[in-house]
Amino acid sequence: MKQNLLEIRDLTKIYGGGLLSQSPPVVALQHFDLLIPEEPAQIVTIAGESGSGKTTLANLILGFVRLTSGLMLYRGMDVTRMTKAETLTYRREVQAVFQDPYSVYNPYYRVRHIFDVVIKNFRLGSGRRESRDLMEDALRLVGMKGEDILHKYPHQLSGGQRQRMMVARAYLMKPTLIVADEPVSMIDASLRAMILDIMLKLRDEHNISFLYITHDLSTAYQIGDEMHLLYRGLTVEKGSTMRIIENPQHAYAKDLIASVPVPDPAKKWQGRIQMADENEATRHTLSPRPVYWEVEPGHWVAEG
Amino acid sequence: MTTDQVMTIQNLSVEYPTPERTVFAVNDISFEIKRGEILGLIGESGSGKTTAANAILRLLERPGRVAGGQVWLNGETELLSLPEHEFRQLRWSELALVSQGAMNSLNPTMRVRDQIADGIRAHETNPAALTKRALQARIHELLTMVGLPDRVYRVYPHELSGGMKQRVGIAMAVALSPALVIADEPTSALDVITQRVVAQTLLDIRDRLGISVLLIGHDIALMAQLADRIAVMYDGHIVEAGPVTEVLKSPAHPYTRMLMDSMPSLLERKPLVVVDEAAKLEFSHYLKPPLRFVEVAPGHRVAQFD
Repeated sequence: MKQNLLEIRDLTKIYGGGLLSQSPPVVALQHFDLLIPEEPAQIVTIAGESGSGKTTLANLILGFVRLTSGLMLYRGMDVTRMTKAETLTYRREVQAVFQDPYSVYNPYYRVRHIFDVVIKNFRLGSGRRESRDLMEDALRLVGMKGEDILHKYPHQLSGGQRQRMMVARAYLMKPTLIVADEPVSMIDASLRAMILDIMLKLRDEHNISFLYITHDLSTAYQIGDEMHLLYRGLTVEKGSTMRIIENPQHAYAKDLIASVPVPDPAKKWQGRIQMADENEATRHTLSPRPVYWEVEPGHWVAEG
Repeated sequence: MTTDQVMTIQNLSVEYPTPERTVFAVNDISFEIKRGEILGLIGESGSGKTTAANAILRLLERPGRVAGGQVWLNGETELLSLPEHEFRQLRWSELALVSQGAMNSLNPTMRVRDQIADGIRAHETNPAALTKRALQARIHELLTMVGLPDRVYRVYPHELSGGMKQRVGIAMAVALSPALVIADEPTSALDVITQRVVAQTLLDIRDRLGISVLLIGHDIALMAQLADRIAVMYDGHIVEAGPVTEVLKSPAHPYTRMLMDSMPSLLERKPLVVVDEAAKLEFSHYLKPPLRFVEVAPGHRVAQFD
């Protein structure tokens, strides 16, 4: 039987609410399901606004926070019960690219430092020559050259270059999955396509899957395969990115898609939109597990 | 005297002297903002759009300084040469700023009503408007204007979401009915739906109060929704300007075209247009000052390139 690369079942994360906690618990993510097959690699978009739980999902997968309930299997292994060796493999094969391509660098080191560290820690290359080749190979993939870039300090690179370096660093580990949390939202619009194009290349030529976490539906529309649309911690719509965007069903999905501005003055927003009067203190509460119905092949919507 | 133009910027330049050379962050730009219009100043990071706004508001930080040019308010007051105490009187009352971080510039220890009242007290010259009752009525009116529920009057900023705080920022900016609000990336940190609500609010203050808006941003799609006219900045220069319908329909400058091409859209899934840093630098070859402009259609001006 073919294994799945990543399988998530009924994943829930609740923050706070412990014995000594003063404030009520916050349900950040609930009843989340996900299936990424080993092959073919795909770009799975996790879309939603701030507070929808998308970054919590990234943190859970990357092991930054512990899940409250549910199951997370990587190649059939329970992520929470891995041996030390399995954990090390998992940490190498599941890589991350974050939103802010500046804060991940130590400004006092030249940028080659981020490569040196991973090569050393994960014993990727033996000897200077081999390490250098690995770096060049990774940099070539993102359209850069070692001689132009490695001796520089982070502030001497543009945002796009810094982010490409992060992708190259992730690629260096020969990952199976890259969790990309808003990888292009701090990059100039005209340079975004470059990063997205690298993602497509990694998917198609290197069989690397992506969990593309974003609030930007238009870039997801350009490159995404599957999409999960989160709203207040719950998946309200999932399936083919194109079908969801072209034929949204859930009230929130409709509002969201209608609010994405279109670069054409002849196609202005229709009507007005009202925002619920809610404050930051509004807690998300635990809901029953939603029932999904298939509105068209491969396009599921939460009922109710 | 009132003119059709709220603000006229003539040959504005801002320089940053560095040990090697002087960098012109804003290089000889001219444009005007008409009464009741939303002018979009669009550019990518480093284009000089925020520096231009800061120069107009006299908020440049050293070592940056205005190297030349004039900024006329209502056709009668030149802002850059005005003594500081006179300029201070125009802040808020004639010229107001809504920044990207406006939502984070509220004082966390003051109720929303007290912050708005503070702003009004500091700049309002008519004593009748400063009575407790008048202030109260005005603040309620302002909150309604920006679409906030009445409870916001009493709350502290941390009880509000980002979009609501941003709208409090807009309420404060329009409190004294300024001629012009400069909105610097007012929605960039917000979610799509919240962005639309805040954008709606900006349209409202223009439509109902007749306030002109200089909208600074990087998102062509948002500009298409809000602006009447746009000016495109690249490397300190304005390379193209005109009515938004006209510029977006027939972009004439290669840089504007590149921006348009690289813009993803929900209308169609099209192949990615990959542009790298080096390709963007190429556009600087078109910029040999002084730029000469050609009018390709009524009001649509493009910097000459060859």
